[in-house]
Amino acid sequence: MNGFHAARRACEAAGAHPDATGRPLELQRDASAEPPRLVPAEALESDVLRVRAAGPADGALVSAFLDGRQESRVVAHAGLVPIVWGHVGAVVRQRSDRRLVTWPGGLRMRAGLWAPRPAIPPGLWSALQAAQPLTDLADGEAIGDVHPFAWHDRAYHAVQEAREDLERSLADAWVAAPAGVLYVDGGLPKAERVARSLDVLGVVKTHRSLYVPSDALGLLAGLAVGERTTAVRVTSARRTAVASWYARRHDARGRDPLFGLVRLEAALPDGEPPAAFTARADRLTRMVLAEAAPLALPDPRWPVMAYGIRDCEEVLRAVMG
Amino acid sequence: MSDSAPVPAVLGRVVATEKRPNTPHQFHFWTAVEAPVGIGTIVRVHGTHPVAGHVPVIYGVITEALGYTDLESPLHDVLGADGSPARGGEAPTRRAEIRLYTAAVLRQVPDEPMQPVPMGEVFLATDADVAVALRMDGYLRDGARTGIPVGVYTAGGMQAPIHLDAEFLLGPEAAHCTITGVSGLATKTSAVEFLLQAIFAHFPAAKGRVAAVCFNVKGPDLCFLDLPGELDDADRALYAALEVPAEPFARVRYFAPYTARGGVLNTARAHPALLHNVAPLTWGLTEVLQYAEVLLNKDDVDAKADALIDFIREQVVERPFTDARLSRAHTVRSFAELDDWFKDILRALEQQDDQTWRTHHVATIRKVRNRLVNIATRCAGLVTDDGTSSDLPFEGGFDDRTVYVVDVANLEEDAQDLVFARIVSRLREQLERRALGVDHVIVFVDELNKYAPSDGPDTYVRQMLLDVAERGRYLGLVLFGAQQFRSQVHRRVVGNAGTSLFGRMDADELAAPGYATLSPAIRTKLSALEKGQLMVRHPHFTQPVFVKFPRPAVLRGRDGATRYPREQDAELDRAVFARLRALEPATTLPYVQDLLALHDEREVLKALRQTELARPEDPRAFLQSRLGRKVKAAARPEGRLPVQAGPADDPYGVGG
Repeated sequence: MNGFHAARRACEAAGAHPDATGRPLELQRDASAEPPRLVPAEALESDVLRVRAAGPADGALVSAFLDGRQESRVVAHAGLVPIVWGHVGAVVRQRSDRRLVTWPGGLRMRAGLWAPRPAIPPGLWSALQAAQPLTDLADGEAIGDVHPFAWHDRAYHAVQEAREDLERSLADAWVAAPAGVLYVDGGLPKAERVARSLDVLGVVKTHRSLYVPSDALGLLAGLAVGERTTAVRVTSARRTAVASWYARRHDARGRDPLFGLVRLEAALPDGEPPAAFTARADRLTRMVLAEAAPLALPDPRWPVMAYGIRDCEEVLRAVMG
Repeated sequence: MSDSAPVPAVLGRVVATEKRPNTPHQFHFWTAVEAPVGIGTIVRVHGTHPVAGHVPVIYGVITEALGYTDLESPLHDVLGADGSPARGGEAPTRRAEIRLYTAAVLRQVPDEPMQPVPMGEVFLATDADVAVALRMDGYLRDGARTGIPVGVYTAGGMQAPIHLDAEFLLGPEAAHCTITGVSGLATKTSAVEFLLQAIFAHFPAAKGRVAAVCFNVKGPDLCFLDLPGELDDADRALYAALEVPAEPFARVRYFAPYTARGGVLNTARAHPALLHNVAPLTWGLTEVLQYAEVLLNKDDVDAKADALIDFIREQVVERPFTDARLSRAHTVRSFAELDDWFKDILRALEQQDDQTWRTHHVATIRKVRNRLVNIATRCAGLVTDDGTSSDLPFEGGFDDRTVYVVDVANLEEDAQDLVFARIVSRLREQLERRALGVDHVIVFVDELNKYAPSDGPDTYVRQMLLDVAERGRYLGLVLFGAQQFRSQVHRRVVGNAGTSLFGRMDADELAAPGYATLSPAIRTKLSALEKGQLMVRHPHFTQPVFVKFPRPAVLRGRDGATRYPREQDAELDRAVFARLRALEPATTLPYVQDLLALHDEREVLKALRQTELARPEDPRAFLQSRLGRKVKAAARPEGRLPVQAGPADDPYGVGG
């Protein structure tokens, strides 16, 4: 058992000072801490960003949904240094006869402890390692003067990476034997094969980074349901470049201009004729728009969240506890 | 289980939360949306861990069902469909949906220690599981089989026969059965007919002989039990599953009073083709006076009147009676003779200008005379004025596995009460003496809420039914009662019934406090049961069980009445002809018409009654002997009357 309480008992048995009171690190983080920014991006379908209709619904649907979940909590302390218990999971839920079921082999989970090895007495480290899967937050490097709270942040990111690894592995498995388009919550996973696959679609719900020039912001605000922007190339040093564009899932009249706005990510048109790419982007957009019902309520992110993603989260919540 | 035996499919999983915990008597489980389960389905739970060396197996019956989605508010669905119900079905994904069932524990194996139901896998109960769950295994084992099939449990494609324990249905452990259901759905009577067939087919011979006495209090429902009815393949399959012959009753005897005029029997069986097993039910003064309390209003007949009635019963009836003040000796055997006796007393009192006779005041005498003599009028057809009596074969003549139908549907309410009281009392007396011919008698009474109401006056009939309900099982006297409103039947009657059957129920009735122990879902199911479905409560079953039973293999009352229209005594000659021809096939209608022309109608009917009772070798000779010989007048020649010849020395010459 790798549950929180088992981990706490293991830590206590190993000689660490147990802590059953810590809040999940995810709740301690301020989501708005990421600075908002406009990211310049190369237009793909036209010289400048434009708006186009995605076309009438044609029954095209994604086949499955992928999402992950993480939880991390301080489970014990070695002096003031936190030992963090993390639990990550990812699941692919495939649609069959309008019901969602877990794709065979599509549920992966991992739990364990994260701590900076240099800051932990060797005996305790060995004991913890014997009891639970243990990851070194210092990544084998020496550490300098670090405020103990800073380990919280590092632990959170380490656990997040573990969750992204699971998502990536599942997306990769899907691409290896695709059975339609996989709807991934968030950007496309950092895997070359996934990022280049025509069978994977990323849908980003938050917009701290906007991939449009400032003079095109009005265009985003005016985007109507059923419309999309033309695509841009989104590049990153940490992953393969992808094509991305915006679409509106729900009418924003009388609401926040970003209400119902999602950003789609898909493989770049690698040798693909421009018209074919545009048709593919339109089709993927229609797939996303088709997922506007049923609403993902009661999740507060329902304007931008597909019901299939909420279903993934509910499954993970159920199996991860 | 052999290696080749199919592995049963998991139906669901037990779940429990702090708010909705499992207990030793109730548990919750979820299933796939399409799982073939519903209210009344019996399931089996496999424990996960051994307890005291045994992995517990729990059997339960579904009593409540919930279904819901992850929707927090119905409004969210409206919003998702833009207010259009049609669009709601267009969503590419159906919401996650749960089927959550609550089951009441029927049995835990082993019985001890009794713990909350574990979080195990749930399976549909097999036939064998059903037998264990309902504790039927205890009375269906070879060599000690006392099961009486009541119907088939059908759920998830199963067809498990459900048996009642004869020792708890017919005694001595428990007894009696009540059947409740709305009228008009052919459930109550059909259920009783089928149950009687099942009892006759399965009651162990070693447990004794059994017969049934059915009171037909309305309509022709019980009048064609010996004639085959229509069955379909589904019915025949149920009969086969329950191992009950799909045939009408082999032995049925009918008893019915005459019409008030006396020409024909007052029953739907009054058809020439059906009279072979119909006997008249007629009582004389002696029989009626034993149960005079049934017909006399307690408020009306006071202690003084009671004393006089007792005097008549003990000192007057069936014995020579002399009194110096009376004009003659009396031997009172009939109501007519009783009336003569009363008249003689009243005349004597008038002549002597006296107010009392043997301490009885003249007013009391007049009142008792009025009440008693009036019985013959109120019970016309049942009570004979001449004292002749035709009765059920109480003196050891009851046959095994025979139905005795007493058709009182056309009698007045008072007369029905009298019939009911006297027959049940006689059955009880004879069973006590073990002189009835059978060891168990099932008495079926419809409209039990009329005869044993929970409120209203404390009648003789109600007292008698209470007595049967409370003590009958020790004698072998078993009450099968049917009623539309169980809540209106005296609670000591229904409370003493070991077995209760419920057909479709009225919603108002289900709102009565007595049904509070049933879950809302079971009450809803009860209010919508189809024909041929019953909910069964039995001492061995810790929870009610739903079953299907086949249509009775007998001719339906309405069909019988259409096929065999009854004789009417408006045409007395034809009615008498039919009755006499049943005794003597060579009888002709002109012969009967001649009889009626020569004799008084009442004399003919009386003689016919006596002939029917005597069943002589030569019925017509016997009838004739009872009537006395009368010669039919010869036809006179036309013309002048013949004049006696005058004497030869006629001085007046009249002959000339």
